[in-house]
Amino acid sequence: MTGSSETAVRGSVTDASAQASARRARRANRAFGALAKFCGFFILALLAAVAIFLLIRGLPAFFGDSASIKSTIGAFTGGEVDNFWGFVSPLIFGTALTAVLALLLAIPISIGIALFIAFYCPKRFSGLVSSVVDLLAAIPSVIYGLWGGLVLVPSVFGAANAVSKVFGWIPLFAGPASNPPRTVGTVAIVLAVMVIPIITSVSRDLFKQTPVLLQEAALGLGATRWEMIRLAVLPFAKSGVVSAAMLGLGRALGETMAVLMILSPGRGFSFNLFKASQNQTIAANIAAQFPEADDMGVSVLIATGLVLFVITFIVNFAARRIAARKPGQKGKGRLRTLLGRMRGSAKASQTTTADVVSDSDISSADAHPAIDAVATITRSSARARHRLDVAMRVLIYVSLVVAVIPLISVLWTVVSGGIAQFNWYFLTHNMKGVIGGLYPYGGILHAMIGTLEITGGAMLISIPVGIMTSVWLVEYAQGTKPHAVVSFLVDVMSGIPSIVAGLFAYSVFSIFFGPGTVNGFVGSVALSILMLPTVIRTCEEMLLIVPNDLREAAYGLGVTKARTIWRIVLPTALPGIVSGVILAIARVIGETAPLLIAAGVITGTNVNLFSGRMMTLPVYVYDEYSQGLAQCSAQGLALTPPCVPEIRMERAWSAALVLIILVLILTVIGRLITRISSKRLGK
Amino acid sequence: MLSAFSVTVLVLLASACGDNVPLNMTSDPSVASDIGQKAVSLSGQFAGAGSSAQKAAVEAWIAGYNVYQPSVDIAYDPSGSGAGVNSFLQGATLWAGSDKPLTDAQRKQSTAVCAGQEAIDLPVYISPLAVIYNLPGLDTAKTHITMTSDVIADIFNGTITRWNDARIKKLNPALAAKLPDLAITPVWRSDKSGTTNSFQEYLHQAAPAQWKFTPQETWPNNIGQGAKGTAGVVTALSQAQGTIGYADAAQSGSLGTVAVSMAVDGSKGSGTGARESVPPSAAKAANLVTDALSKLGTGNDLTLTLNHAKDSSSVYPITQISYSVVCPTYKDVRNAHFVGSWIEFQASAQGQKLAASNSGSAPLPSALTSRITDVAHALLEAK
Repeated sequence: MTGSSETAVRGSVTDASAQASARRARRANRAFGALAKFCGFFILALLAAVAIFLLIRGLPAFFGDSASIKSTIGAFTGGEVDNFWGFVSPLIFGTALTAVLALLLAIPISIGIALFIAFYCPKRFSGLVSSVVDLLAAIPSVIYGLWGGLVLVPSVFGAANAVSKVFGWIPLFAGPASNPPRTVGTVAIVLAVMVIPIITSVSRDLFKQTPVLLQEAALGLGATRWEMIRLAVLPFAKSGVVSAAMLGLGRALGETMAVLMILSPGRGFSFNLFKASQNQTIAANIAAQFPEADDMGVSVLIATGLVLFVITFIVNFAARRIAARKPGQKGKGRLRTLLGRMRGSAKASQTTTADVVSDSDISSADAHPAIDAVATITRSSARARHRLDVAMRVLIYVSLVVAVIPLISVLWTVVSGGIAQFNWYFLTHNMKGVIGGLYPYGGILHAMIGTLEITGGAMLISIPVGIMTSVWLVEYAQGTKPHAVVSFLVDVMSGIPSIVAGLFAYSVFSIFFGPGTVNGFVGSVALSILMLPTVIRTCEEMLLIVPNDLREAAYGLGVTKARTIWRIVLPTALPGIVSGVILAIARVIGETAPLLIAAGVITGTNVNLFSGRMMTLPVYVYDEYSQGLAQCSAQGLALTPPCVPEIRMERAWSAALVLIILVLILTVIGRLITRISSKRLGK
Repeated sequence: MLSAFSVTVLVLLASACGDNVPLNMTSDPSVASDIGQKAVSLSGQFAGAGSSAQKAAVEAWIAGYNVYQPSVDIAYDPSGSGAGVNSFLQGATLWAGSDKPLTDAQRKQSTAVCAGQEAIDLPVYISPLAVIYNLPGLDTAKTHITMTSDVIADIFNGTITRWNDARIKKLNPALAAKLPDLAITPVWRSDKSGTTNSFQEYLHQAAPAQWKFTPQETWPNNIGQGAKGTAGVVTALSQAQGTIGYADAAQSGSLGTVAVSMAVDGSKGSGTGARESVPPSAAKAANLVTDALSKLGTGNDLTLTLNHAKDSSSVYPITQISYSVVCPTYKDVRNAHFVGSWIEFQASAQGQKLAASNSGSAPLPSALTSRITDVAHALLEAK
């Protein structure tokens, strides 16, 4: 790695030293910097636009005609309440409850899997396990929703019932458990499964970046593998894991389809995990009520979207404050500090074990140096330490198994359900002319085209803007006030629920291109809002990892900043950026809720991204599922090929299968790019 | 690289759009003739949006209509009645499918898109709703549990909580031994829906003492469980025993359906008080609509008010109607011609037959068909 980078520096230095191009280079340098800055501020403007729009569109819910507000909210709640806060507060509670439960389940399991990949898995298989996790991050929420509603719900009643019988005295588990268990507890499991791959893939990358020197130093001093992880790895990765958890929380807070398809909603403030009709989330409520809402109803729902937006804002703000309380040094500086401490205190180890165990943060300037910890622990009972090491190893293996069970179940359900209609006809036809369960059974050509075009459009918007924003953040604005603001707002943006992004895009186009403008590009805009923060965050992380030596060497040789970034920093960070972009695509390719609103539903093929409704694969899956059984007469059943009553569910599973295959292809392409680019760097 | 890949795919695919060639729907020449009489050759793309309840019917209508007008490309977005009416009022679509009639405010607003006139509701889709249940030990395909409207309302308002309740037993002497000591879990629609509204209209009219909620599209209580969409309700029911819910009769599948106890006509007068159990029936649902026609005015607007409280075994009281909301005039003559021929087809005997076989809907009474055809012909003659 170091060798290759030096070669790159030397090469570009030769280019840049050419006298003739010096002026041009300076101009290009300024333009590049300006562009990066523009992108940084574009994020500001975009977020402001979302907030302003939500506010404008939601204001009638507060200040509009009070009789109309009362009747609308009364209609939403069956007359139970007639004011906005009475309407929204149980929704806030339900949203927070499901998301927090999901995170509580997901974080330990995710860290366990990430540790397994980074430190326990044989090197040969770590790539494979990583790929599996990457793929699972991309399973669309609508598929998790189908799986949760059709497979998980009927299978967890026994467990829920047993727990509520034994632990019913704890209010959380009070019985009797509802059957079918379409409850907050079941939803939390599904949300956790959805969030696990996100936290895992980010944590894994962070763990792998833990300086090897640190790890070896810890091991060399006699630490067990778990002690090494606890002392060298976890503190190093802590802030990154918190930000990964925030990404996960963002997804859990705003998750619409899975909640919509599983949870039996209610308007209560109950903590009861096993009873149905207790709570509802804001996002699922918007999706459930939006299609039939009138003008005031839309305002009220958007106002609840604004509340959700504010909640994510507060959550992110709090997380930032937590992360900022103990500022961690990045990269080499941190390594040096840590090494210095280890060296300095290698012989003087007098700290008490209790102290060390209670404080795992070795980056704080004043507290116990890592080496104290290692040395102290070394002196404690070897057998106890070994036992802990084995116990943690078992827990880490178990966490992998726990996560893999639902994942295998999801894949098996999709494959076994989808194989029936998965054929050439299905792939090459749309739904035009398809009637009920009669032959021809139709296909997904129109949805595949829609998904490719809409996702492509979102990529064209978000990848350049996202990369330039992260360049500006890391290379230009580091340590400045605008950096802090934009960086913070990117975090906030990652919490924008997908359905709110959809509402935003829909309304912007309604204002500028006439009411009711629904087309593929509206969907692209909605998805790009969801992609941007992921692209920016991962690019930023990757750029930060690029060693400063490289930049300094280039600057020292007189290379312009723009050229240094373009030729040295970005190529060095490319593999990480590509995997970040793939994660971002995976995040949006299965988005259903925003596309239902922004791109609509259509049976025919539409190749024009800018005009007319456009079907997408996830919307197709949901649409087919929603229609239920097809009506087949006795005559129809006798035909060859026959009328198939369950045809819609078969089509839904087959489309889900295609969606997963599509994601797999994208992942493989992404990995190929990574490999090719790293080979190129090696020359 | 990725976009280059997708562009290649698009170029490959754009050449063939992948439309299906549907089965020939016009093998019956007698039904073909009643459509062909106003033959105008239309072409172009036309969009509508609205009721998801109508989707299966509209799907069949589009396929059937395209046999007569092959160059017309109709897109229907089943985004929901509210969204459909909104986009219709904004002029984004030519017609809306709606489970509820327009409000007065919406009618006023519609003059902006209807060349100065008010939009009208045309009932084109009649669907019997079934009260469905999942119980062990009953041959649900053959057995209907009989309930009165009062009992149905008391189950959904949480008064009757167990399947072996004395009131249910009394109505079903033959099944009394088989009704289990099992909690009743009512399952309702968690999304806003015209089906919920129609079901509550029925409960409110037929059992006013038991159902005091004002009918609306949102379910008013938290008894039991809510599920998204008809498919969600049916799924929830099939997942646990003891559940009871409501859905389009065509969606009941292998679940049991409740027969409503209705007075046999004439029995009241004769003092016998004989009652008959009426299971969901398309024909009897249509009878309920016929019953409402006498109250219809003479204008173009055909908004119907069903009398769900009618206690007669000739009708099935839990019936939903859904409208095509259209303009009586359009600024663009092409649009007027399209909408005219389109609603003519919807209301035609063939259109209704197609809808019935594809969605389980009930055929429109012929009196209603002729009223809609009059509106259609006026549109077709627009110049």
